[in-house]
Amino acid sequence: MTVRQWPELAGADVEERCDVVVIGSGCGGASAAARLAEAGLDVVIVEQGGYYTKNDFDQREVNMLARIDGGRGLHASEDASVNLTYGNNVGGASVHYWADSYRLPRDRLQQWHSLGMEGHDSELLARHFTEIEQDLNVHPATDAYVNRMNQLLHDGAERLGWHVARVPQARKACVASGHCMQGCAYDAKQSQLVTYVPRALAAGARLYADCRAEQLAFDGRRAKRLGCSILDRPTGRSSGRRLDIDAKAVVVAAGGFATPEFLLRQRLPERLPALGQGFFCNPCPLVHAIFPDDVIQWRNIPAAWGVEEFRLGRYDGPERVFGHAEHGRYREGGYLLMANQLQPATLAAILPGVGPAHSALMRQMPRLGGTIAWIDDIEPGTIRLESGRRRVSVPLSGGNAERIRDAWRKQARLLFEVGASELLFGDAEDTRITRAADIDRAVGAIVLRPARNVLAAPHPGGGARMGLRSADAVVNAEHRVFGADNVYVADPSVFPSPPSVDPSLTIMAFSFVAADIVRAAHFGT
Amino acid sequence: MAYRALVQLSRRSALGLGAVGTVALVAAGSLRWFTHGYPPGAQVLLALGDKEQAIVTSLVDALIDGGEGLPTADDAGVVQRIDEQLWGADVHTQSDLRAALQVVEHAPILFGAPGRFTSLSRRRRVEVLRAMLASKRDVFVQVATALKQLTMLCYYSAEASWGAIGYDGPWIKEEKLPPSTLRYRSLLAAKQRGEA
Repeated sequence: MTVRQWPELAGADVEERCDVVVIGSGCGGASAAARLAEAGLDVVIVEQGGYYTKNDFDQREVNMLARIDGGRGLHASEDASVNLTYGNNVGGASVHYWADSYRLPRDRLQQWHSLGMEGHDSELLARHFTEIEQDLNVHPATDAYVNRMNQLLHDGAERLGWHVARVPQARKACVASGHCMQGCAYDAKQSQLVTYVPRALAAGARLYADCRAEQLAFDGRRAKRLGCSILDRPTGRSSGRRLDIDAKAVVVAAGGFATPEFLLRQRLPERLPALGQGFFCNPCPLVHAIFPDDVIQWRNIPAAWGVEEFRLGRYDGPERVFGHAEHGRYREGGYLLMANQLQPATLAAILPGVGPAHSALMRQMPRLGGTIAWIDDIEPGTIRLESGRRRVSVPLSGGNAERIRDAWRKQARLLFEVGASELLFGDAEDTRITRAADIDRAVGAIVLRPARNVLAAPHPGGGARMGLRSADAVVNAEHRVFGADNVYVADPSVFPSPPSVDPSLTIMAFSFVAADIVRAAHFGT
Repeated sequence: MAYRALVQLSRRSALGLGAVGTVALVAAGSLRWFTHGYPPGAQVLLALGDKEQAIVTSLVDALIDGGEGLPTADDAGVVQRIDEQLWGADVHTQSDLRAALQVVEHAPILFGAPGRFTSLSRRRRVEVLRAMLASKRDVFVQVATALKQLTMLCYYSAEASWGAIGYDGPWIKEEKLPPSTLRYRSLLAAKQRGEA
């Protein structure tokens, strides 16, 4: 196995040559790299973040934010509408994710085809899903992994007549510590770090951690060389050393934020007006709930039960499609509801109040529970460069606002249904209610504007979408960047709209598709 | 520094301050900057300058309650933890955080509290922060929220705070410091010894 990383790597410039260079080692990159390497190709993986294993994971929030989270968890969209959540380590965001592992719903695949995506038919994806589920031990969460908050979510949904189902989990012998977001110290969560990264390495792939992919050199329509900066891991800044890689094909899999950014920094052979457009991120409105007795939401797995009743938006008339204006009148839905899980420092950061008011809430932490909604974005955002800085924009208006407010209302109904004594919406005005009768009034009065609400952005994508033409898409059905002969994208950036469920399994399945195409197109195997 | 940071933040976010507010803020910042020095910080730090250390110290004192089993901000080492976060952040985040500190220092006049933030009583500082968090102008909410979140993250990541909130702590008992913390502490120790 070849893993090169800081500090050894910062000693000299490095030259590499390979069949395929894969930029990124998360769900998209690692699965593509493993598939390519196991097919006999010479693969190099370039990862900006560090290579950490379970022996480095200490379950302390700030320590782990520094190791595995992009921007140490401090990044936000340009107007602070949402906090940006992404990985910066070997294994990518899968190292801090919740291990929720859904197949792409058939209705969403149909929508993607209607939006101009070709190929990726349901039978092909089903075969890939089956293989990935076996590789990652995906299975419905069992009773042993249902903490009190998840049980409350389940019970509330049942009483309200909402469809609730066990969340498929990618785990083996989970010890239920509750530290999924700090990286699994037990290798129980089947992240890329313990699945497709080692598979790729075992098949001969070479991994370069602490290397930031920066510049593609083109010869006409062909990318010939990738230039990278070797980073000084403690600071994340360039060490002054270079890694240059000559490759026959390039797979960009840097994730929903970084892939559009990387491509925007290139002099691509063809102008691509859709690059950085059509962005989505599943903004997550949450509701805190104080219960009469202990909930201990920070232990066991985060999401054992999920409310699927409202996954699709409901309209009087035609359903609204991401980025399209024509639709009937919105009624409800367009999100998944889950129990929330937060360790104390993150919880403290987002609870309302200052001074004694804030510490009084923190002292109730054992009784503090809550829920979170993964909003299926309907209004597109953007990623662009401004004076060299990545700027992410996420609209909190229009259809996104409708869905966020409805998700607040539904969460509040459920939480009161199971006995919450007080709900907090975490907004700048510190909206709190103690009666279900006040839900509509309170939610209607919440000011939904930048920086005033707690919204994370955990599932970015769409910034290099797949389609038929370069006028409105970035890659074709073969994942190939329009205008380039040998540059491919294999991550959620290619999704034409949000997948309506956790995207990890879909990302991997699409990467399998992309890897097979790269192999056939350039290596005849 | 203060002037530039304020102007940059003003331009970047269009502020929502309105012309009067912007002028008042910038004027306050520049005049204060040129007429009032800040004493050397109480702690030797890497990223926060003397003025920034004074602002962060005042900010943390207002945000953190302590008592009844909770440690003081000093005992939890919050100012140094914030210094480490700033030191380890990328240049854009560093720039934003530094600008946010300048806004906090010179914004009280816009919330009915004449004087720099660092010169106010604790009660007035708490009032100003509450007013900023609930302001109709997004930029103040943005600034106050970012600094509050950073402060709370640093305070409640300190083990000393866990007992009082009923948190039983990580199952991995041995803390394993990340490379950035090891480098930070090494450089800080060298600076404290007068070597840098």
